[in-house]
Amino acid sequence: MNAQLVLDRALLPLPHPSPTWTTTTLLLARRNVLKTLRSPAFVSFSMLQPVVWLVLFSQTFTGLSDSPQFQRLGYPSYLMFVAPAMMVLSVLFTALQSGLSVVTDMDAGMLDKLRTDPIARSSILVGRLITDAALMAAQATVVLILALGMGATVAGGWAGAAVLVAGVVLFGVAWAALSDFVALHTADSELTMVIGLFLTLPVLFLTSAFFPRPELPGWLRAVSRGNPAAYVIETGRNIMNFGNDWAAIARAGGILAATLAATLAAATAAFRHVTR
Amino acid sequence: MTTHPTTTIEATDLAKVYGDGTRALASISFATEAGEIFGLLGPNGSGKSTAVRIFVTLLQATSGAARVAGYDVGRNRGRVRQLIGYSGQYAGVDQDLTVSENLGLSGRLHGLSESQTRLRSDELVERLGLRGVAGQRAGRLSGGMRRRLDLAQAMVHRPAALFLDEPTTGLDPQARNALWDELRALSAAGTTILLTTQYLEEADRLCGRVAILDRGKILTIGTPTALKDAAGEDRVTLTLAEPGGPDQRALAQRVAAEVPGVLNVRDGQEDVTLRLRAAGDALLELIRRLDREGVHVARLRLVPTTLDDVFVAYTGESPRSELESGRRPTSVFAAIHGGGAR
Repeated sequence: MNAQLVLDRALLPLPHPSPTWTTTTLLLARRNVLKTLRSPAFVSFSMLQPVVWLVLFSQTFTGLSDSPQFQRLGYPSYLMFVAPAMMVLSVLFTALQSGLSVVTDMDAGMLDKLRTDPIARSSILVGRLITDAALMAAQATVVLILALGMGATVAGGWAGAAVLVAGVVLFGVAWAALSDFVALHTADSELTMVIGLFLTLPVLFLTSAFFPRPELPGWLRAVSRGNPAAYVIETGRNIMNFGNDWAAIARAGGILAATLAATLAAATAAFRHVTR
Repeated sequence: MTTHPTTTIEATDLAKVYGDGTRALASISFATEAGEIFGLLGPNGSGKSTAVRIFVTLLQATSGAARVAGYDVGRNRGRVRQLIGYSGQYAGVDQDLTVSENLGLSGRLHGLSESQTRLRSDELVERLGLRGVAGQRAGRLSGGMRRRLDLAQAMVHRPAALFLDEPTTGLDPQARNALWDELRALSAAGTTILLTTQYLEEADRLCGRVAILDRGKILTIGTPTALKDAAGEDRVTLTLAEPGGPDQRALAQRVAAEVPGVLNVRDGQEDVTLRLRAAGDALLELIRRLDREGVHVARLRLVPTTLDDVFVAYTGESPRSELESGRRPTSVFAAIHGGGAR
């Protein structure tokens, strides 16, 4: 009799206010980190890939540094030239992966469930991006440390190195949000991958990532000026080779932040598309 | 937020036309009472899931209104999301998290404290028979177990209104009964439940009232008993001991036709099929008379009223197969309702 009474009270709706944005965002970020860590193979290859890129590129194109045009630019070695671009290349693959995770959540019905919870759409996205950012920071750091081990130096010192990693992550997260945007619109992993690659690789090749800018044809040089990837790569390269030019760093940071704001807004709005 | 003793679920002229022109819902209206278990009954493609997805804020209605506890789901999304629990047709569980972690995440996202979440998780794990697998990753669970976890997640915060889209599909009878018990208890404590189902039996055992949905329209709303009575007939099939004996068959038919409550008698090659209303009394009388007249019955099979029958009664035709309606085909409907090859 008494037990029955207790039982019934236990069934009443619980008084609970909606959790705060920060709480839900961190809860979801923790969930994503947990998921990532439970796939050790994924983590290993995410870390191995940047290493392979750096070694491959710096060894393959090292002959480039012998050319008089390259030497006129003042970079001590091709490694010092290409290292920031390798950091960016590494995080771009993680950015592509972000959209795929979103599609996985859609397929599993997980996203539907989250969308009926009393939480902000943006916290679902930001929870995802925090996890991406953590992985990207690890990747960028690994590339940088490896480059240092191969003889590179950072003229900007510790502060410069920190700014370099932060800039690369900021750019990577902006691209991850773009990938999420594509994922929410297509709800299809193959499409997300193909469109993601389409939006990613040209962005890199439209910069001086692999070849010094004066070597690019005129029209490509013009296009690359509107390219956020160009800012993170060139600013990073200047930090490594010539030191911290804070005005230039602030300008690049502003452009990257604006890019992130735009892709994040687009991805958040894409949730509305799913509702129709 | 306090408890909502007056949580109702209401649809007023609710309609949904998808972007590709598919009219999934054509102006449906119904209103549950607080604490009622209300069923939307219909075949796949009848608009059940669309209706539920509008109520849980996943879809926007084209016109009309859907309200939960008086809050318009289009205009007061945040409020509605606080009040509801939802389990869709695809189990929304995270494969890489354990059962406990999944439940914990759901509870916390609904604003429960760490300790409330733990308490409530333990309670549901126990009630829904997930105790043995609480520490296992959801991806390693069987389909039925995953379904139960999904349902537990929908209930972890004790929602005022619970929306379940075909909750017992894929559950074994034991799990199904446990879920039914849990739903009855929730309903008794004041939770209003809207569930969709293809099984008349489920509606019968669980729902206070049922709306029958076909091609996006509500054909009728009523208690399961009233619907079955209106749809009419139970079916009894007699297999005679000597099926070859035409005299026996003729005799059986003659006797059966005279039993009060028997509506018609059909002669098959192997057996005799009767349609009768309220099988209980008529069945006893039938057996008594067959025995008295010396008819040797080898087997007697009673087929209670099915959704098919209710459909036939209200539409004059059997529920369309998925193939005909141009959507994804499914064998589930046919399998459940004994259609096709069975």
